[in-house]
Amino acid sequence: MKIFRLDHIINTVLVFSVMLVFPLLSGIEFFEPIFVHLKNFELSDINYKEIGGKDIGDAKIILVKSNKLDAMKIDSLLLKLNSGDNMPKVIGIETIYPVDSDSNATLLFNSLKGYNNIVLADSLDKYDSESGNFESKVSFDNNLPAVIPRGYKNLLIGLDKEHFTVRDYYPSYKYKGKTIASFSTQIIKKYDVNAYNALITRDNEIETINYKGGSFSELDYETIMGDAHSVDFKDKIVLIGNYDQENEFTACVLSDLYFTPMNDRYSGKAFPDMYGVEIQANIISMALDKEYYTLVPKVFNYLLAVFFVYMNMVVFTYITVKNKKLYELLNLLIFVVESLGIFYFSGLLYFGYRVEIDFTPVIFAIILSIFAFEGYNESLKPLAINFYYKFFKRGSP
Amino acid sequence: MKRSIAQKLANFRDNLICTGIILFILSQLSIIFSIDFLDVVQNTVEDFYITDYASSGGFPDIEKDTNIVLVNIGRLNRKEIAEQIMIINSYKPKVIGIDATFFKPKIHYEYSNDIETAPAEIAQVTGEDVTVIPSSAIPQDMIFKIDENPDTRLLDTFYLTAVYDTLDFYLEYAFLKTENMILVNKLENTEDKLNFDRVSKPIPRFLKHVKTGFANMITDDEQDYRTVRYYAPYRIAGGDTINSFAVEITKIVAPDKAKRFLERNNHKEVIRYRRNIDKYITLDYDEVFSKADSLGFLKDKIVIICFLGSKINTVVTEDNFFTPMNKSYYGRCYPDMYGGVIHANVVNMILDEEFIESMDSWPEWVKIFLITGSLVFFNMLLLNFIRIKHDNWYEPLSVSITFTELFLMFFIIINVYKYFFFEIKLVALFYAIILSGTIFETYHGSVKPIVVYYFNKILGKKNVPGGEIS
Repeated sequence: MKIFRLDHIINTVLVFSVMLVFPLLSGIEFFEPIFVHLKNFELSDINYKEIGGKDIGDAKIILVKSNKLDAMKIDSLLLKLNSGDNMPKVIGIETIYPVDSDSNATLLFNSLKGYNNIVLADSLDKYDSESGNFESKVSFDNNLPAVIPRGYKNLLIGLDKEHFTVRDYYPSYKYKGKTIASFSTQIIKKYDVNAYNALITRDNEIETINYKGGSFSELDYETIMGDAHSVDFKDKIVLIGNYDQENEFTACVLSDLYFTPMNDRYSGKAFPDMYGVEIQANIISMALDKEYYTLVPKVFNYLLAVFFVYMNMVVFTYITVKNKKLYELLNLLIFVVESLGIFYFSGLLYFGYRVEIDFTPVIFAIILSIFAFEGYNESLKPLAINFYYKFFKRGSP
Repeated sequence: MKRSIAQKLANFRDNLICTGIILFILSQLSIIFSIDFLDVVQNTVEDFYITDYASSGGFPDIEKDTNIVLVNIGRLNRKEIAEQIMIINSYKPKVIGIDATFFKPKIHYEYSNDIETAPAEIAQVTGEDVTVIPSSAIPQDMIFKIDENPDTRLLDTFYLTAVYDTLDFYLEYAFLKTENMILVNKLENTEDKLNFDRVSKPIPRFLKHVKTGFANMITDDEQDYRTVRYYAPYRIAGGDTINSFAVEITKIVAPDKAKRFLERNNHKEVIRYRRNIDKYITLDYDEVFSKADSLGFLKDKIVIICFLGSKINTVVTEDNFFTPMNKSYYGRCYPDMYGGVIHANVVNMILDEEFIESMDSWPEWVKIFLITGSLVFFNMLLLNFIRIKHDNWYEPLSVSITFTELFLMFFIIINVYKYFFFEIKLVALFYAIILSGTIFETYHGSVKPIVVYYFNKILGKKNVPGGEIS
């Protein structure tokens, strides 16, 4: 078996040339949703719910519904939460009450200055897809004292939440020339400096979210304000945000919801499954437990694809030379074995070792390698040789 | 000459075998896709209805419908719905349909375990917004109930002491005063999707004054998040034929058209979607009250009271479906149409008598063996011809044929649906086109040579090297 041959290299180049041309089809209107689907789909989604979806929540985090609560009620809620010895270590307010649009928000704004365990959320606005920057920010008030930390709560940056799944997030992002921290990063920083340092040390632009599901403790305003409540908030993180679902059969407001890998359906049409504040809770929990995913650089995925394609060429050539009769059957078998192997190993790495490798280019390359091998050896090469002899050698090969 | 005929016969035999193999695989698709690993392929293809492309994004140029008015029921309670109906009815619409279920009474019973309160002396409480229920109307099994006392672990007997009928009374009155009122019922439990075990109906006190039609939607796998493409005009439940909600509405407005629709005798009709909520006149629940004096436009209209969100502009998941009018015809997206709007589209379709015909009811042998089989056999002829006559061109041409056929298939299906209102439904054809080249090559490249090799070996004949193609 000859490993290094010019034919193998040409075939490999052929495969990746097709892969480079393939995305051009996305410009055609008909293919647009298909490409969005392909861009959004990941192999790990298939088994996420069964294997990866632990749905265990985190006892350190309590979610409080802010639905239908005005700034005044939030003010009294904060007063109640921060009274006595039972106060939470951090209170993150994910709902934004802009001071200029709500008179009660000024009251809340003034109260906030008196607490030292508050983190507020901003929302970066007006995304410019060309520069990758946001032009403005929606927040409580731009003149908040520096003592109150604030971070942006945006989850999908540059991607449409109607079509894309929240798999990862930006711990920090550039805004008007400065690097600003996300809402979750600010909460982690306030809650556990070690966990914050661990996150910063990783120095990743994007972190994959290790979901713990939606089983976080939930409380509503009435329960907390009632005298009878006996929830232990001490040293906990309380996240106040839009989180309203009366029961599993009633309405969820679509604009508050996101698709996550925890969705019951891993592809195609489905209802979005998780509220923004729940996703923030998942991110915070992951960071506090330091259970991150190891992101393998994209270049490795393509190198892996090159390796598979090249080795396929070697093996296909070997089979063809040794016993051509077996080639058609064996190439199908090789494709099935390789696909199953990748499917298994991607799951093992992702769920077992929290290593994320995007095998999508590898799968595409393997599929194309069969066509490229046959196309090159059966057609392209003989035709090129014929052409060469016909026009340059004036004869036949 | 003889050899040429023998060769042609051999080629014909090979083409038939290849076609047979593909048709066999197609007939076993459900078993093949039951393998976990291939579930992803099935899931991807199942979600892909090429006809959806024709309606995707809706029809921006279509005029607003002025015949149907959609009224949001929001989170109103029964008393408020009754008030809503009374206001609407005062403007004399042709018919009012309510796409909401009233299957259980909203009566509050209070019990006491005071043994001195005998059933015959039930105390009936009156007060503001409370209607007294005659003793005779109280169901016998409600007069007392027995529960385990969690403290004593003994059985306690509770006697009915009060009945509050705060809501249903008003609604019953509103139904009584409305000339043409249609409510929905729900068909329950079916195996063949035509015959149902039973039907859940509105409570009897409402049924006295209204007509009903079922509101069940046909989705691909009975899951709420699947796309609603079809509509059931009628179904059988407990031996009775029951019409759908939209059919019952049109029976009042245009009985002849409803009759002709039912006479088509289709178990399911492709819904000809034309409009989403923005192309209908809508009233939010609070507008009915705030504009109660200026709803003159409701006269002689079809009014469908349905859930359109907690407020019309707040899009929620409840009673919200995916339809072919979704902006995204494939992949992740939000649901795009409330159930009530789907019913309105069906009413439009029946009134306009503009239907979409479908090959869904055609026999499987026509779809799979005749149409798909013919194309597969044609592909085999073509591929065989190329392989024999232009071997060097086989690979690029076979790939081109596959893509050309897929393109033509999509083009024809979309345009026949769009311009001729006919739904071509040939999922097998898609797989057949994909499989043609692979099966042809596997048969001629491996299966046949191997079989011939061992066959010759058994017969003691000499094998010829190579010879993938006879």
